[in-house]
This record gives sequence, structure tokens and C-alpha cells, in this order.
Amino acid sequence: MLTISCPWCGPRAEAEFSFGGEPAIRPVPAAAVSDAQWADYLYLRTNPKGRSTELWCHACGCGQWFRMDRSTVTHEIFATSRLSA
Amino acid sequence: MTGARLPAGGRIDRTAPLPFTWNGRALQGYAGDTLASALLANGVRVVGRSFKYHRPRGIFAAGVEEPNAILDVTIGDRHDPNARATLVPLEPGLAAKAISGWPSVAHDLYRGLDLLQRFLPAGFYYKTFMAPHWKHWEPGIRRMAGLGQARTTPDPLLYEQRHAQVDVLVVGAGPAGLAAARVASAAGAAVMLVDENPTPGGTLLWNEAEIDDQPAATWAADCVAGLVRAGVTVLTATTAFAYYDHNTLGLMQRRTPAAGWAADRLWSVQARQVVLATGALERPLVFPHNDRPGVMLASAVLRYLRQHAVLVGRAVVLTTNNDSAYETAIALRDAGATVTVADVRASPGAAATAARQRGVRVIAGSVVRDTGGLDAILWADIGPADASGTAERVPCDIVATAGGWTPVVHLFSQSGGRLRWDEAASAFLPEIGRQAHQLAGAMQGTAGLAACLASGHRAGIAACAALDRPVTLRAPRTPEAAAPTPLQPYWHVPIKGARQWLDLQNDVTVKDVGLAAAENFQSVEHLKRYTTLGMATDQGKTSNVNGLAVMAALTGRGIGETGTTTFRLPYAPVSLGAMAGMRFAALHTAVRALPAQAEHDAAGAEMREYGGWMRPACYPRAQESVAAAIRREAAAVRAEAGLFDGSSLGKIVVEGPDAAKVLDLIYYNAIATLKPGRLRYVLLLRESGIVYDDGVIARLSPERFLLSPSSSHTAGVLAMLELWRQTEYPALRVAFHDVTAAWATFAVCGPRVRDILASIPTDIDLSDAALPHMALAEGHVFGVPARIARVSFTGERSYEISVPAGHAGALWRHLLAQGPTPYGIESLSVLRAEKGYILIGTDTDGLTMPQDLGLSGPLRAKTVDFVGRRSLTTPDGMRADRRQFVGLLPENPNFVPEVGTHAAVIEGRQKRSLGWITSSAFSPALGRSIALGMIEAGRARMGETVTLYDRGRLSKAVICSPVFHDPAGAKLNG
Amino acid sequence: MAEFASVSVADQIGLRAGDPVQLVDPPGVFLVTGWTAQPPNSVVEIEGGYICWLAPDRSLAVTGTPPGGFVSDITQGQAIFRLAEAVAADLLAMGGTLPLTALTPGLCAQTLFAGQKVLLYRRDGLIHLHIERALAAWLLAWFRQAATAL
Repeated sequence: MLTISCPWCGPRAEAEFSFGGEPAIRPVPAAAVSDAQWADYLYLRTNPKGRSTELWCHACGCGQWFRMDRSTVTHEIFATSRLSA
Repeated sequence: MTGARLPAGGRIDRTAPLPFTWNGRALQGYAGDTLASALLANGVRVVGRSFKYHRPRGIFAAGVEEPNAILDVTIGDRHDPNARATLVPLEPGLAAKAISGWPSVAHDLYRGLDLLQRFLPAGFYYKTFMAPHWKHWEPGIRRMAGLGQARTTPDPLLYEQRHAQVDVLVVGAGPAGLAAARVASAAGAAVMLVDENPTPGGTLLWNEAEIDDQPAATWAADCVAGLVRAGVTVLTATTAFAYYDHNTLGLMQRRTPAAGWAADRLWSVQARQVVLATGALERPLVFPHNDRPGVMLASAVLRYLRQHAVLVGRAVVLTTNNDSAYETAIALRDAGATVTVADVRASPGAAATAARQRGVRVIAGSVVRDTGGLDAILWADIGPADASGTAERVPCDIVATAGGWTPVVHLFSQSGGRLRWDEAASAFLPEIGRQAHQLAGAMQGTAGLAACLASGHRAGIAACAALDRPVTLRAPRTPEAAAPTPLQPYWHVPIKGARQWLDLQNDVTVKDVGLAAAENFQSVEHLKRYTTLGMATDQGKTSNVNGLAVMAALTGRGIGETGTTTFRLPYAPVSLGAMAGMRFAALHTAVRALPAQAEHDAAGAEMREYGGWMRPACYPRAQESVAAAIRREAAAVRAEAGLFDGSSLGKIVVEGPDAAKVLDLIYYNAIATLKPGRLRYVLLLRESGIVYDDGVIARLSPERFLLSPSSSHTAGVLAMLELWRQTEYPALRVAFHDVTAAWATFAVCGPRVRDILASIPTDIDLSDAALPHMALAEGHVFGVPARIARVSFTGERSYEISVPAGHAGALWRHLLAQGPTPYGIESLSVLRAEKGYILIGTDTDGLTMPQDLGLSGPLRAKTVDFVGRRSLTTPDGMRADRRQFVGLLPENPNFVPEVGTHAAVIEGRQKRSLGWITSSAFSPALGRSIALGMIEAGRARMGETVTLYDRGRLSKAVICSPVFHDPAGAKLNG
Repeated sequence: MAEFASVSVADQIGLRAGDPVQLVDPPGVFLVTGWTAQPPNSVVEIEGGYICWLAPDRSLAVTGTPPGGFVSDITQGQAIFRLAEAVAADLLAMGGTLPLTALTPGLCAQTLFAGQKVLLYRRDGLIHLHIERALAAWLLAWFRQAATAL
């Protein structure tokens, strides 16, 4: 069970959070984007082994989305930060 | 074995005799006994039959590592089909019985299997019972192996789970653990101390040394009492079975009847610092016929003697390769037994000399080379350890074996820690830890009481330092023992032929490991699975290292190089009841209740769960079937009027200056053009273009909208709106409020609906001019705030009336009194199918795009980049052969094809599926069966006949418009 | 139409005498957004009630009169359980991971309790628990079961 520090609420149990994956930059205007670029945005992630930056949401707490920097190998969490930061 | 209780001594209460039964026989023990010690005190020898050869087995150990004494234990309402007798505190009325052996454990007819042992090597079952399939053989083999039978009646006990957060969690209440807990408590930290035995103290309970000038057991009891007074949570009979990420540990607390109804309790404990003082388990020396009842660990013999005052035998042979056996030897001698020690070492040293002085016979450079007897030990052969020369036959009733100590590194290893093989300690020891823990005592190879106390003290101080809690406390003092003579690694007697058991629980012998090596199953993980060494409920606690050593020798590798299998959780078995906790029966899944549930119950509703809500499926009358009720209700809505509880439909208020803009950016349909007071049917797509939800949006005012997602998607839609608002459009001023549960919503519809409305006192203008189809008005009914919307999911003229949830019952009762037929979800499903209205997730799936549903207008009309837009114009989105939503009329009007039935065409000689049926019903309005489906290029196939395949039955259907009833929509305003 | 009177959650869901859990009707519960005043998880006293800050721009006002901002009345959408101090620590430990010690006066917390999203805070010597009204009956059954373990 991970303990995740919500940037607004502090340390809480993993069960309160939902995972949003690696952030993807939405290409705009969408109409000008090639099919391949759009598929990239939709489906392709780097899925690193090791340090990874991800979006998480304190879904059963304050409901805020935030960034989390963590290791996908050791599950160590290096930092969490607000999206506005 | 002739176990007997000594007249004095031990940590039992002789004034509290406890009656219990063993295989129906009435016996007696004392408070302070475990079931194992009480059985031994009563002279019980055979407690089980081995898995494979059905050989008799006796109690081997005194703790969690016990491989043989797995018993069926009943105490009142509590039943454990596979209890470890060494961990069960004796209680009055306890009934224990053997779980293996047929017809009884003493007279097992399967024991003949042992004669076939030559033909039962490792992997025998896998190799032999292959045809036709292992599954045909497995039940019989499993039954023969024998394991406890779970009861088939409901378990009357209530299990529970707890969460706790502590500063320091100390695992193990032996000398090291107590020393650590003492420091952490003195530092003012919140401490939890757990131990798997019923009484805390670990080895101190049977150690005769003095600590701080007190007997060790007294010191331990005082220490625990002091910790409890200081607020430390002390959990006994509690096994820390798992070490998860982020310093979270799983504990299982086995509870006694003092706790009343309660059974096992599962803990999840989050600790800022963990002290692992998990101790070490003795491992046996391995020798021929070392599985007879009466072969025991030397440390267990000592523990039964000192803790429980049970002398397990009168004539004891000890076979050892280290000094620890001599404490057992001397204690046995002092209790009146004759004792012979076979010591592998040529020069056993000071401990042996001391034992000799006390009357123990010590034979240096020797080992037990065989044992004799059937259900008991009668003799042991002692001869040179290198198997040379001849052996001397020594009469005895117990052979105690001492092969060194295996540190309990399971939790450390589970936590991500790395191990290394230490030649000097002859053990795997912790090398690099990864979590916030301190190691103490024998689990890290520390030997001797003084060193363990010191190590625990240091661990406590280190944990406190990590928590910024400096502390000064005098360490507990005990006289230093003399330096021991080093252990001499020795694994088994180098004799071929006779069976030497490595794993008693799984009947794995040295020969089996040899076979695995010969067949190239040399990796430890292969070895484990091929031979079953170290499997099952004891997970090889006494056998793993011996097995690895044998494999290492056979393959010419070092033990460290051979490696060890993964230490997976749980360390010891966890009861399934504890894992379930309170999540069973009515509490298994949280269900939402409609605010008018009492009214539905009164109306005889058939309540079922839909998307987390308990809702009426239909309202069967007496003697009426569900199917008949559905037809009656659907027909009544079309002919007269119906009443439906739609309170579970989502209600999300979207408010703010940018509300319309945000909804336009997220929803498929144009929202900005919606006029206040009007409704629009809308779709919500995923970014992949797939339809996620449908619903209705009402514009209450220029800056305020009310969204109605489907019942099961309300939370998902809200989460999606928040995701887009927070990550993509943070500058837009808009708020989303879920008000679903605050409002009750009832739909009244049908040709007679205006009569019903006329009975409701309201300030809302219900005329068609003021409130046309797809319009909404706010006001009051019966003087309470209300909204009335003209929206229809049945195709009939329909009004949805919403009032605050607390008024739900009263409004329902009033409406029902006006005579409409109440109808449930299943009836609604028929009505909407007649109209071709889709149900998201039923008629659509993870590939459905809006154009497949015939809804491509917004793509042309809107200019903004709404969610999923770009995906609709990908090559896949624009394929001409996409499956499209159509109706299907079965040729046989009385045949209702199952959902999932494929619709195929014949192309040449091949049948090809065009798609499948997504909804089907018998339509009371049409008097025939109807179906909806997703059919390849379906809209271009109107009028074509397809072949339906319903589980082998073939029939025909014609593709048609999905709108079967009132295609012009005249009844919406009728 | 005398029958058409407001029926509270507490009336619909019976509690036995001696239950350590009470169910109460608040004067009014309003979801409010549009302010940025207080950090999340703080409780602020206002005239006639108090405000729990749920998120940076969202709060829950428990009061007779709703404050300004974008306000939705969810009085009938929530149930409030009040747990006696003596049993609260045990019940919280059984229901979720948030310890009682985290609930100091002036603080509130949204968390998972018995698998459901709830709002918790300490007030007048009682632990207050807000939950969606539709789940109140289920949670009461949960409390009854849990209470037998106390």
C-alpha cells in the first residue's frame, strides 16, 4: 500500500487516489494534426522503467489532479506537485 | 515417545486444568499450554500422516515452523480446519482431530503407499497422471493427501479489519524485540509490538539466564507490563505475515474467546520505522528415517521442557553440529532423562565438556545414521559422521536434531531487502534493506542472549534517531556467555539408499533433490516446483536451507550461488475470513437506496441492483411472473399511464460564466445554442471518439445547466468533467456540483398523463406552449421546490417531476393514487427498445462512435475541438463498413433472440457475421418480437434478410429501422 | 395535503436506543464554489454555521443561510452521522486509513470510509461523518455490524 502525499491534503492511503498515466500534450488544433500524431497522443506512452512523471487524482479526497514523480521499480515517490506549480 | 508432564516447573497454571479432546478422546492440559504441548504431555505420538507416503508423523517443532501437527480444531463456534497445534493456545472444550489418515490417523489404510515409495519419486504425479488429464486424478489424490475440510455451513463468526498508524512497529517480542520496544517507548514514540506466540517473550520464556538480576522470563513479563502501562499496543498471537511497500505491514491476530464473537482480525499497519526482530528457526540435521514420530528439533524439546514442563522422552539422543544442543542436553539430564549427544564436530569444545560433567554422554565426530521403530522411536544408530566405520545402536524414545539456525528473513526479503549467504553463520543474512526499518537479534545472525539484547537496544535507538527522538536508556544487562565453538556445516548423512527427509510436510527426500538435479531442474525455483520442496503451509521453514545445500553440493556450486527462492507473503497462513473482514452478505457491496424505497417495497417491487442502485425491475402482482409483469407494465404505459422512479439518474449542476463554453468543449453536441428552459439529448465521447455516455442537458439559466448522465456513469462523468477542467481548461470559470442524491425524480407518462398532472398543485405552467417537449421549468409542487421536465424515454408524452429527496415518498404516494401503473427498469427497457432509444453499454460497446448511432450532425455543425472529435475523422472512424445501429425483425414473431446472437450472411460458401443483437424483447405494442443490433453497414442494408445464430439455432430476421413504434413521434405530444 | 411534509433521512433510517452512532438532519448543506479563501481541509466558523473547505475552490457550507458564490443546496442529498468520541477511534480504524488523531478541531478531511467517499470532522466533541444520502442506510448497517466488535 503506497502512501501518497496529496499536494493539498498531505499523506493519504493509495486507495484514495486514481491514476491518470503519463501526461500527454493535447495537439491543437486537432484538425491540423496528422492521424499518426493523433494516434501518438492517444495511445503511445514512454512507460519508463524507473523514474516516471505521472498524473494522479486525489479522487476520494479533494478531487484535485496533481503531478507525481515516482519510481516504477521501487515505488519510491520523489515528489508530488500541484498542476499550477 | 513417552511424553509426560513434570510435577513442577514450567510456565503453566496447574490450578487451571483445561479439558480438551483429541480424536474424541478426553484429555487434560493446563492454562499456558499450547495444543501441541498438551498433546505431548498426554503421551500423544502420532498426529498426522504424511502427504505422499502416509507415514506416521509426530510433533516436530514448537512454533510457527511446525510441518506435521496441522490439525482440525473446533472451539465452540470457531473452527479451523488446518490449525498449527504449536500456535493454538489450549482452551477449555477445545476439540482437536487429525486431518489425515483413513479410517484414522493411528490406523491408516493408505500407509501401504509407503511400500511403493520406490515408484513414487519427485514429479511422479505429474509424469504418471497425465492422461486423459490431471484434473481427473487430482481430486482423489488430494483427498488421499489429506487436508482439513472447511465447513460447508455459514461461518457464524464475525471477522474484522483494522488500520493503524504507529511511529515504531516492532515485529517479534523476544529479547531483541523487547529491548527495541523498550527504547522506542521510553522515547515517547507510538509503538506497536507484535508476536506470533500466545505469550510474549520469545526465547526468554525458556531461557534460564538472568537479565538485570531477574530470571529472563520474569524480566520479559515485567518489560511487557511496563510497555502496556506506557501505552504500547502489544498484540500477541499475531503474525506479521506481509511487508508491503511504504512500510505497511499486514498482521493477522488470532483471537481467543475472551473477545466474544470475534474471530481473526486483519491489521494493516503503517509504521514510520519498523524493527524486525523476527528471530531464527532451528533447522534439523538430516539423517536416514528422520521422519519418525519422536524426531524433534532440539530447541523444541527444550522449549516444551522449560515452558510447558513436558518431558518429551526418557531416553534422548541428540544429533548436532553446533553448541546449541547442549543446553537441551543438560536440561533433559537435569529433568531425569538419559541423554546421548552425537556431535558432528571432532572437538566439540567447552559446551560438550560441561555437558559431560553433568552426566551427558557425548560422542564426538558422530551423527545419528538411522532410527528404528514404527509409530515411535525405539533406537538410533550413532556412527562416524563421514559414514565410515560401524554404528552403535542406542535405545531411545526421542531423537532431537540440531543443524544450526535459519534467520527469519522473510519480512525483510518481502520488503525488497537483499540477502547474502554467510559462510560463518551458515545462513542467508540481510545484506541491503530498502525500507525504513532496523534489524535486530537472531534474524540478522546475532547469536547469544547478551548480543541479541544489545542489538535490539541499538535498533531501538536507531529507529528513534530516524524519528528525531533522541533517547538515553540503559541497555538491559545479562552475563556474557562463553564464546561458542563454531558450527560445522553438515547437511545430511552421506549414505545412499535409506530415505532422508528434507521436507516433512511434502515428503521430499534427499533422493528427490538428486532426481531434480539429474533432470536439470537445478534452479531453486524449478527445484521447488518439481519436488514441492518448501511448498504448502509451512513454506519450508525448516527444510529450505537443507534442500538448497543438497542441491548446491550436487551441482558443485556454493549455497550463495545456488540462491534461495523468493520469500512471498504470507509468512504464515492467513484465514480467508479475516481477509474478507466485514465484506460479506449485505455489507459485501455498498448499494444505494432510492429515497422512495419504502414505497417500492409497499408496491411489491422486484428490487434488483443496477449500476450500484437498488431499483425496481418491475412490480409483479401476486402469482405473476416477472416476464408477465414486464409485458403488463409496458402495455399499460402505452394504453393508459405509467409511473417510474428515475431518482438515480445523475444530476450535475454546471455553473459559471464559462459553463456553456466548457460544455461545448467537452460534449459532442452543441450546448451554447441551447436556450434557457430547454433540454438537449447529448453524447459524451472519450478522446478516442468512443461513446462514453448519453444524457440530457437542461439550460436552467444562461450560466447554469443541469446535466443528467446515466445512473451508473454519474461519478465517471463528473470525474471526466473535472479532469478536463483542471488539466486542459483551468482558466475557465465553471463549477460542477453533484446533486444526484438531493433530488427525487419521478416520470409520469402515457396517454392519460395530463389527468394525473392536473391533480398536482403547482405554480409551473404545464401548457404545451409554456412547456413543450424537451423543455424544463422550475417552480413548486405542493409548495416545495420542484422542477418539471418534458423528456421521454418511452416515446409517450412524459413529465419528469423532481422534488427534494425527503419528499420522495409523499410525491410517489400522491402520484400512484392517481392510478398510473408503476413500471420498473425492465419494462422501461422494452418501451425504449420499441422506440429504438439506445442504452449506452448495452447497445454500444468499446468501438461505437456517434456516427454508428446515426448521430453525425454535431460533427458538421460544431467548430470547437470537443473531446474525441479528431478521432471521428481517422481512417478507422470513416470506414464504410463500420457496424451501425439498426433494428431487426425476427421472421418468427414469437421468437425473441438472445442478446449476443450473431447476424450472418452467406457469401459464396462462407457464412460471415455482420454483427450481433444488442437488445431484444417481446413488444406488447407490436405484438411480436423485436431486436436492436450493431450490423456492418447496417443502414445500407434495410430490408435485407440475415441469418441469426443463437447457440446453434438458426432463424431469419429482416434488417429495419430501429424505431418500431410511432416512428413519427406523434405520441410524444399526444 | 398534510402528508406532503418534509421527511428527513433520520426519520427514514431507524436507530436503536443506545447506538453509539446518531444520524442528524443539518439545517442546510450547500456545495459552494467560486471563492479562493481557505486551504482545503480547514473548517471555518461563519454566522449560523461553518464551512468545510473541500478543495482549493470548493467548500461545503453547513448553515441555515447559504453564502455567496456558485451554490447548490444538497441538504437532502447528504446524511450526517455523529460518532461518540468513545467509539470513534475504533470505528475509524475499522472503516479506513485516516486516524482519529488527524481530526483536530478546525480540520476536516475527505477520505474513504467503509469503501465510500465521506467527509469527516470533529465538532462539539463528536466526530461528524457526511455521506451521500443514498448510501446512509447501507452505512448504518455497516456501523451496526462494526459496533458489535467494540
